[in-house]
Amino acid sequence: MAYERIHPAVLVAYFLSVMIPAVFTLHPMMPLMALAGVVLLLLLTEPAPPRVRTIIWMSLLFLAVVITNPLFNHRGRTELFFLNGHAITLEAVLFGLRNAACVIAVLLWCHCMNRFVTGEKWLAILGRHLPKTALLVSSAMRLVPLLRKRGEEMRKSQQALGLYGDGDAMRQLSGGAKVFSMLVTWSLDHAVSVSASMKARGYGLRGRTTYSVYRFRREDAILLTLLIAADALVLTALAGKALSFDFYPVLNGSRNALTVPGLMTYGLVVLFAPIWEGRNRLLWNCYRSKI
Amino acid sequence: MELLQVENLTFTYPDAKKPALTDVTYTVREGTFTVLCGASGCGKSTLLHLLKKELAPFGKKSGSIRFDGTDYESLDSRVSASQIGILMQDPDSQIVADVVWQELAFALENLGTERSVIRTRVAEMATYFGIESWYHKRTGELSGGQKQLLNLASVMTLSPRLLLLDEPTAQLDPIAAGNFLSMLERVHRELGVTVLIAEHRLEDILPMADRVLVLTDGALTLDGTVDSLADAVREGHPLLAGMPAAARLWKLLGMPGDMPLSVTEGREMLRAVCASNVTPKASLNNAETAISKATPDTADAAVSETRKSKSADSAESAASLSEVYFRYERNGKDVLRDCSVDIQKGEHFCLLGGNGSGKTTLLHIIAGILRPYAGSCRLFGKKLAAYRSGELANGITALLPQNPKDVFVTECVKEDWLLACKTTVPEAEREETVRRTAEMLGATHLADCHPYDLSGGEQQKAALVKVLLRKPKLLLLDEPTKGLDARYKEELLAVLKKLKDESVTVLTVTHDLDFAAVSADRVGLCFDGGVTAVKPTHEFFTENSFYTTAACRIAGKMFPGAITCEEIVEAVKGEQA
Repeated sequence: MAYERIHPAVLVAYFLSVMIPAVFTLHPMMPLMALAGVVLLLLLTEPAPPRVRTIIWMSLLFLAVVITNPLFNHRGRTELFFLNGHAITLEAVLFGLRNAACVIAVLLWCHCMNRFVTGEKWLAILGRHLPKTALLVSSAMRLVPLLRKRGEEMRKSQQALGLYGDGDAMRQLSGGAKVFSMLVTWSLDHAVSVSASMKARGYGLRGRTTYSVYRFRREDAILLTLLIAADALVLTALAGKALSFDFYPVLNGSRNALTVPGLMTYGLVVLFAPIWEGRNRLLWNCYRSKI
Repeated sequence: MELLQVENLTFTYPDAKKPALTDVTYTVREGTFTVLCGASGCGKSTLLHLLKKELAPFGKKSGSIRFDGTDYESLDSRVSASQIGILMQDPDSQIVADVVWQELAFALENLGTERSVIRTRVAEMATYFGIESWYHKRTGELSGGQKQLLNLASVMTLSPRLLLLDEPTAQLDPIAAGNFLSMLERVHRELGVTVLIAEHRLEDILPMADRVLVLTDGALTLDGTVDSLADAVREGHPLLAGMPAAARLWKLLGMPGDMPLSVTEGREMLRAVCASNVTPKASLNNAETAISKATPDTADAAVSETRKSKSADSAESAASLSEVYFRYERNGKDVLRDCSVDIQKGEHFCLLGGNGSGKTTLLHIIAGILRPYAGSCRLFGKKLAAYRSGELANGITALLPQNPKDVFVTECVKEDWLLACKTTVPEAEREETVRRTAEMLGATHLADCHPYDLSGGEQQKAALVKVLLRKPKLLLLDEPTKGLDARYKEELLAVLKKLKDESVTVLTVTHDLDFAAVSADRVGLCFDGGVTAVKPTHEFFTENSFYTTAACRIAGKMFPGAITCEEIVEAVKGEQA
């Protein structure tokens, strides 16, 4: 995976630079580009083809957003037809399409971010500035699956010891409550021993440092600089109303000197991930053929 | 050089009537390996915790502890944190972080080590301990043995001078325990760390030790080399039951000379015994007849009886599984595959096998917790599926789970015991049953405690009392001897004997071969998803040369058929007669 070698902070910065501008402007090109980029990225990186269920759900969501907007929003001048005495306008349909594309694009980018930026990487980012919080999050992340496992084990054992009786609801309920209260006791007990083990290894001494396996390399610095430059341009365009777009009453995009450079830069940012992935894949094939 | 000096240490817990430790005095030299032994609850843990300043329990303390010449009262907390490492019993409750590398870096971070130094030190430790392949794994996904290795590595990142270990292998299976102890020995030998370890597994640990300390009821009753243990053992010290098979045999035979510890030494001793007697050929025959006389005949008789009747009457089986398949996930691997086994009424059946061979799964299926997706299971002649929900757990089967903590659901042990009794019985009678059952296992003193305040061995005991109070026809035990000292094992054996008289069927899953050898009627080996090699106990152990008891390996070709020390002794006596 080409993303394994990018520093988590740069990764997060990248995903935010893709998602934020797409949400904060109504320009229809933005979500379309974001959607195109993420679809390409998914085609290149997704290990298994998406399940039919996922595709169906996504399509349903898309349709729902597209349909609801013109049904409840009757602004816009270009009337297509009337439904129950209300006008369904072209502008409202297009606005629905734009929103749907935006929702789906952000969902898919989030999915990618989740896959590339694992919990451990979030902690590495947090750890620098909020070491205590990072440690807390880390131990919480450990505790949740542990608690679930303990609860399941206790439930099974108690079932084999007849705590739940022969299936009558009252016994089941009181048994469940007993197991739950014991689980709470267990977690307190666990917390005490963990804190003992922490103290034994010097937790609480002054001058704690944090360690991370991720190093900020030259490549990361270059990528981050480029990203910041691109972001600056896109944000300036956003602030300068270069990417503003009105759907109502009629479609009307504002244009100035920054519109085209802004859109192009955003397009480059969005396409960066699939290009980077594709390039690394090509390179890899190249190296492999030489081995 | 003396690293640790303890003088006249007496310690009393608040509200306790008598001190947990009385007048303990000893020194530990730098670079030595000291084993601390004694029965459960004799004060081993208290002593170890007092040596680690941060974990010292509250209570009244007198006497002094000096580390490297400095009194504990004035010991710098940075020195104490980095130079004294401690490892406890439960692997899970010592891990702080979510991912392995975070855990390894934790102690170094606390001491404010620089990033570049941490990187080197963590890399060094991961390589040394063979952690590399799971360096990025989540700590929750590790096996118990890996967790305890991680805990050891995590303590070692600070390169401590003194390592305190409180029964670190009690929760591990024998293979993981062996790995852990050999890693510990390597750490001691190659890095020169001073080790002070409390441990039940004397068989594995004594060959590594320079020195042995024995605690009895809070007082130090023995302090010397491993050889000096010999005198105590010769006089029948309670420690004897936990000694390696060779040493036990040495005592039972009343041999002179050095106490043997390993199988090889034991075999040499036995050879010497044979050589000094009649010709080997004759002795062999004698031995065989002696064994058949000596073996606990009740067990063998029961087996032959059941074997005779087996073909005739299928209703005689307590549990019978045929061609059972089970998996945990739909796309997962079969944990049980074409698994068939038949457990006879009234017998004690021991199921042995490695980790992940499906032993516990099989037990859970019989207990009705898990449901196989193919094959048939019958309990006492009735299909498992035909039992109503909860009917099974009500007087038919009762399961002692691997983790005894799972058994308790109240804040007081006695309350849990009462909860296990049948509700139809009047209260006074229930109290009486509880009292009798607890007495039988020597657990009466645990009644008023909180279950989580008990030590691992005591929890096991209290849990077994609760399981027995369910009055099952088929008792299912999952690793009942895990973390137990030798004395309690004997008590457990007595209980099993009593259950046999009451013709309760017992199915035990265990790693403990010695336990199986002395208690089981028949033994089965779980392997590759099925139960193979179901045989009467003697046959099973004598036919195996590797997967067998230490006593059987010592007896070897000299006394074929003997699988316990007692049987070897009988054989030798038979030969001398």
